[in-house]
Amino acid sequence: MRLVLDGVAVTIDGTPIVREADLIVEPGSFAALVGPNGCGKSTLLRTIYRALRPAAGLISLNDEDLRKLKHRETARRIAVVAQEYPAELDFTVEDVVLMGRTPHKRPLSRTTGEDLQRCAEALERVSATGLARRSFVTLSGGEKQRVLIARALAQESSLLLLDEPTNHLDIRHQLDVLHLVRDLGLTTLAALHDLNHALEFADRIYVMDTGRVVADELTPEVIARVFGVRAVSRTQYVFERLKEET
Amino acid sequence: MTVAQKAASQRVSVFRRRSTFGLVLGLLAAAVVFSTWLAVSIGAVQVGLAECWGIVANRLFPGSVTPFWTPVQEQIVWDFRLPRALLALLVGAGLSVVGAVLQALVRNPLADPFLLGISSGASLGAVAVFVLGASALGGLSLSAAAFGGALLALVLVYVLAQRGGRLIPSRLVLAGVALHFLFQAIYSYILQQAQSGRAAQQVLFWLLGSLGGARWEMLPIPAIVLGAGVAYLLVQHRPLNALAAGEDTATSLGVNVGAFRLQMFVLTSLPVGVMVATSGAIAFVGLMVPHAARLLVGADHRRVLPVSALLGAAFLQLVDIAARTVDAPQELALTIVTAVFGAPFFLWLLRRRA
Repeated sequence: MRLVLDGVAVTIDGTPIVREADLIVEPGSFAALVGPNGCGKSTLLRTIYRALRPAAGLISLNDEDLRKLKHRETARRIAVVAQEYPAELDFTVEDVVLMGRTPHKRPLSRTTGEDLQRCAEALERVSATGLARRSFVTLSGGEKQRVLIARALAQESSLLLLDEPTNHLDIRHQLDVLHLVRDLGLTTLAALHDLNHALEFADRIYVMDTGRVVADELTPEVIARVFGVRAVSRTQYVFERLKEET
Repeated sequence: MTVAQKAASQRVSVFRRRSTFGLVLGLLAAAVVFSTWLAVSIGAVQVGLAECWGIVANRLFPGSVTPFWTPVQEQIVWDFRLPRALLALLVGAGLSVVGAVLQALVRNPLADPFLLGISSGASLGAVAVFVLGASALGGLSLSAAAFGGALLALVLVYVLAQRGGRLIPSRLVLAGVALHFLFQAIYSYILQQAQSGRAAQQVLFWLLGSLGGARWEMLPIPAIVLGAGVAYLLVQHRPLNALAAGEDTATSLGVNVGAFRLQMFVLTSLPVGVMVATSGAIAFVGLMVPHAARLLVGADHRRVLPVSALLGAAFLQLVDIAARTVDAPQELALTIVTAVFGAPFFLWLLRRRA
């Protein structure tokens, strides 16, 4: 599934948050969205999955205008791992994964064996089958993230959006989650905090600054201009290593 | 069985739904039947079991039983106890399901059917009729005035809590609480000015909930509104689950959150208006029963909603039996009984959470 954003602008309470965003995510590729805090990454993602309405511009999936789709139809094409957890209520892991079947269901349709099968497969793909009966709130951060990815898989969408999926995870689990997501082979757009991760995992990196997509690659010059720091030593190190490799 | 088949069946078995759900539903259905049977049999005036059921059978299938009871007994069982028992089931189920839905809708475990100020709107309407007299309000009946008050509250809460037609959950709660106190102030003032001790006492009793007004002729409206409302809410378990998981998550799962929230707001408010109008503001049921249901079957609304409906129906039936027998021939207001059970349960839940 090919995602194209053309001149997308988003305004919240009269304040322009995203001014002009153009980007393309090619089918089967992993694109990363990086940028300083408050640059509009989350807002842009939320607009793509229609939690927000764009003030201008066009978002299309395989040349289909997103605004012409119903919410249910959008959800069958786009799955999301947002920075949001079920609050207070005691859902089991299987309850949470089953939520992924929502866009495939009508109010009166029953949960079928096929739904359960899809959910079981999804849990297996994220290596979390053993957690099925656990209460979601008792899971560790890394386990929660795996389960939310399983929910997205159960949704059977071909585009996956992730909003800072490595937040609050230790380094090992950060890498775990990113490896997992990349190996799924879905068309993926992820807002990432860590530039090293973006460099290591993404096929393409879009850089946002004050509501604009200002670059589609991450160079030391871009880092200096956007983040206001000279390419930090670790990033520099990755650069050099990448250069050596090529 | 091949290895692949075995693996597949294992995978599905991991996901086989809790078999306890069916058991819980069965037990609760039995509890509903049993409590209703008790409610029709027990009362201030003794009517033997055989007489009770003879009367009911003879009414349902005229001529099936030769009367061996007095007309007074027949009147008590058929005209008073049976409609009252049926209303208890309807209101108990209605309060509980609405409570469960509202807790998911505003994502707050403390939400209950009276959170949105609708009950105090209804109370204001009722107080106005009691104190000022029906004639001052154009001959409105108590129920009609209470329902009118509920509608007034509903519209005001909506106007205050929306922005660009979208309801904002935090504002919904704040607007509801603010209006609740405003309405309470107004009807308290009216009561105080009325200087009629009897009217005030009557109103107080009504405010605390009573099913004593149940008659056959007043049953159709609550039966239709609550029956249809509860049935409709029961099939909304998927969007409610999604919403409980988070607003953005719900959107990404294909729920049109704005439209759904508005729909649920109206579809919970109308039953609440009808319930307050027929039986006053019965507290704690809508708050407590959904939590008890979650303790039994987990948070998935596919299970919570039907379990809440049955549990609420059976619970309110037993509460009503207690209310009219404990201090017979005096009747206790229902909130007194629900609170006696509800407050300790809630404190226990609180400690369990901490």
